[in-house]
Amino acid sequence: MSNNHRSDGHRRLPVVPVAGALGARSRRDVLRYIGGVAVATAVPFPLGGCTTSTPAQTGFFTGAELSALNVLANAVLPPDDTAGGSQLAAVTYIENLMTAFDNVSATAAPLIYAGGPFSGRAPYADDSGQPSTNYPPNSFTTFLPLDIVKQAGWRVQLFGSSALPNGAPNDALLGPVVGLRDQMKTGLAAAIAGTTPPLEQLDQDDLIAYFNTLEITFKELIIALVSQGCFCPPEYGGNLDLAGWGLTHFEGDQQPLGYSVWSNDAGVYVERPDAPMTTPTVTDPEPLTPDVIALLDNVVTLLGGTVFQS
Amino acid sequence: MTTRILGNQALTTFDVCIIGSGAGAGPVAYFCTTNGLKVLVLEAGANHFAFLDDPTQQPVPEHANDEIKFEIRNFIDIDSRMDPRSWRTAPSDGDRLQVTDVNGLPKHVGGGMVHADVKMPRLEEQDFMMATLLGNSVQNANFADWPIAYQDLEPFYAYAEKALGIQGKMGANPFEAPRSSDYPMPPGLAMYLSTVAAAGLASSGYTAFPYPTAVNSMPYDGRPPCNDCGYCSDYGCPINAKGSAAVTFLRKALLTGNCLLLAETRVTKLIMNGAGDTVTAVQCVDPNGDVVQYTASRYVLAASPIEDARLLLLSDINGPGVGNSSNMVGRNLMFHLQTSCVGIFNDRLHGHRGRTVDHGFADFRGKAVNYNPNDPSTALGGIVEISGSERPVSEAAYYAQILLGTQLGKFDGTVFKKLMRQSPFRDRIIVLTMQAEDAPQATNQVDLDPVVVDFFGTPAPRVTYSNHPYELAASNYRGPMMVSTTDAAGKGAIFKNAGARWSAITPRDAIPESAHVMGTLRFGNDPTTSVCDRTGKLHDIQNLYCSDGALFPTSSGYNPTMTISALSCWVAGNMIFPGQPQQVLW
Repeated sequence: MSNNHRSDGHRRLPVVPVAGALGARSRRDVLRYIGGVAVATAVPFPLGGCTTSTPAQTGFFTGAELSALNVLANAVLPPDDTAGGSQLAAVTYIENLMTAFDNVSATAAPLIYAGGPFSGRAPYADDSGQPSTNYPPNSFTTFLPLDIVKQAGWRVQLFGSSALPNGAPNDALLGPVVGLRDQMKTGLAAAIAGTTPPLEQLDQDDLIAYFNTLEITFKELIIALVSQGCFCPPEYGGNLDLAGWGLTHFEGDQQPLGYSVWSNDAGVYVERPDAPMTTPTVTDPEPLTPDVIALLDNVVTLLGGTVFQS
Repeated sequence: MTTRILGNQALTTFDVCIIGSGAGAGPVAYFCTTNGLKVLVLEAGANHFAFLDDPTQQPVPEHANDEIKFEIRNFIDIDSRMDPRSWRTAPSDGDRLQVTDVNGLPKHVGGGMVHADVKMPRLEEQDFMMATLLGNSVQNANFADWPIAYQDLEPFYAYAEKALGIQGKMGANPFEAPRSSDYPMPPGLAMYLSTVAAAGLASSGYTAFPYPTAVNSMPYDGRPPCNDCGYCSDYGCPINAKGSAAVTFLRKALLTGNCLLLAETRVTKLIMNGAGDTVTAVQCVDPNGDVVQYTASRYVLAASPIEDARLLLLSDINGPGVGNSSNMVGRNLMFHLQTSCVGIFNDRLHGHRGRTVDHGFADFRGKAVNYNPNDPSTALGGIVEISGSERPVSEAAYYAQILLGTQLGKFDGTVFKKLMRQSPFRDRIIVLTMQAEDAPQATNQVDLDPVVVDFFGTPAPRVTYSNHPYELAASNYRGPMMVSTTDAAGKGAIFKNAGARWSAITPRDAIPESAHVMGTLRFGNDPTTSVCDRTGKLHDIQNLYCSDGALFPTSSGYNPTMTISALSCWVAGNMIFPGQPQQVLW
């Protein structure tokens, strides 16, 4: 979904020639600044105050659409001995995004940006550099208000160009923006109508085969949104019971404890035995299998790289 | 709860107005306010720090270990639809090739420095005199000496390092310039993957060293030590362990009582006097979309090179641009051409535990000599960063690219899940990235797009940029060396049982992705070839200065933010103590 073209340079992975799907974002409020001389009003925009979070609206998707989405979520991340996309509540994540502005009011922010700094999942350290029993409150559950530019951007992202009185800024040049909500409705309708027997009755092989016949932009959108729903902070609605992070052996958000914990008593860092930072992982929970190694060899070769065998 | 108005709200008249609030703005705000000047800081983006101006408590950021917020939904980045930039390689492409974000450094209080993992090396002495050292050997390039020498800037480097809180090890980089003092803090713990890579580099004859970073490795200046949470580059710090301009220089400026900061206030025009040589006011769009004006005695451009140039051009939209008698405004835009290679190892290296980059090596920077196009070793490379992993949503997006891109568009969820569980491209990688010097070119420039506008209807900046053969030669020469160097790491004693799979990333003559943005208002002694003088003041304008990376005449091969911070101290010194800038440090 990110369309950001900035890079500090590290963590750059080889570019695979495939189109991306999305892009976007959005605050507001009312204030007059002391010392400023008002000379004109530049931007008409429907504003409202917002400060705290609110539960998402349900009901954007019909029952049939929800059922189909859950099947597609499992097409992206099938269940095995660990949860699949449906069980991880990827669909709740998607519906929360689609309805992010539904409950916006003077006291409720859109469900776009979870708050900070801490989720309450990790504790503070004590003075000896050990995890304490003192946990911060979860500020992720309080969503943040958007400034005027971010709000406009996110409204266009979700609702399309018609979200703004005069359309998106460069519609005349680039064409109108089709919002994610419409993209989802249209794509789901086609996905539901395009198969007999219905999606829910396809076995895994047929499901994957059918999934790959879907229109590419919609397919990419589903892969992106389901992935986000499976591996997001749970405050966005997905990653139920943190099982998404669990299956990929990722510890998730770690503040305010972190991995190197400062001991005030000793004036040195203390590492966590359960998640070492400076030393090797003692036991690999899921080593590379021969088929994945073969796939990586192919990918590296295709990208013009070199395979070195030990 | 954050606020849009920070500092002393009783202030109504100002000595200095600073446009921007990042690395180039913070030091000017700090030195001006601590010397009794009244300062107005105007920031286009939002404020994500509660209590930034509260002397009774530390700031509380809205930043968090949240991949959706930062990586996917671009919390601190500009919105490319509402705040677009256009891009082309040359006028022959037509008006533009794409409309997108093009090096969209974050717009928010603290500027681009907040998002970064704040790698802060100084430049080398040679970087200040590239024109002298290279002569005319690089054709169709525009190398120029800096109007100041490293020795002029050294005390300002030292001051800024203390103010920001830099960790590092003096003498560890064999190529570092002479220093008057050690780093304020020792290096923090090294990630496992850094140790692995460093050993491999040593076997190839190269020297990895702890990367100087504005990250606390111990309690420092009222802020806590970093705890290596892993959400570093591209993320704001949830505990203020990063010494960004916001929680250091800017906060101290706000606490003096001499500073007012207005967030979500976007400067769209400099109002000039009739002679066109003095700024009389700035015109802004406020948080409600209303147009307002503010006045001060002096003004400082510190909004980043692309936005600085855009503002000068917007302020004389039917003419050549404010301060542009040299026709150099917007020109010599530079990024760093980044060349990377990725190694996938059998072992899990858990690169998500750590500070994104904590080691690097500078052996590929080289020494400036006459450039020979037939000898690519004479093109200067740059510092190489050693890093590791992504987080799982970004990892998933990459696997989707692999599957769709290498299997003719076919996506197999079973294989996708296997990749997520075994995590070759997150938990098992080392990435080396070289920041090679861009040759300055007058044709690489920022101007105004004739059609594309932002949300407020203001003409968008257009970036015309293509790589020079000089930096491509450095990349093509050093890239394979990086691969073979890291192959040594993969097959050496360290990895007796580990296979390494390396792929080199070929540099592309495409939208430049580097967050290292320099030039557009280069400083120099000759007003016919430069925009600003050696103090940072625009040659043509009596009361307008620049204090950010726009001043760079050349780009070096080191990350620019430490030098931007030092330059901002230098400009402040010259504004407050003309001819004796060092007095500001005493």
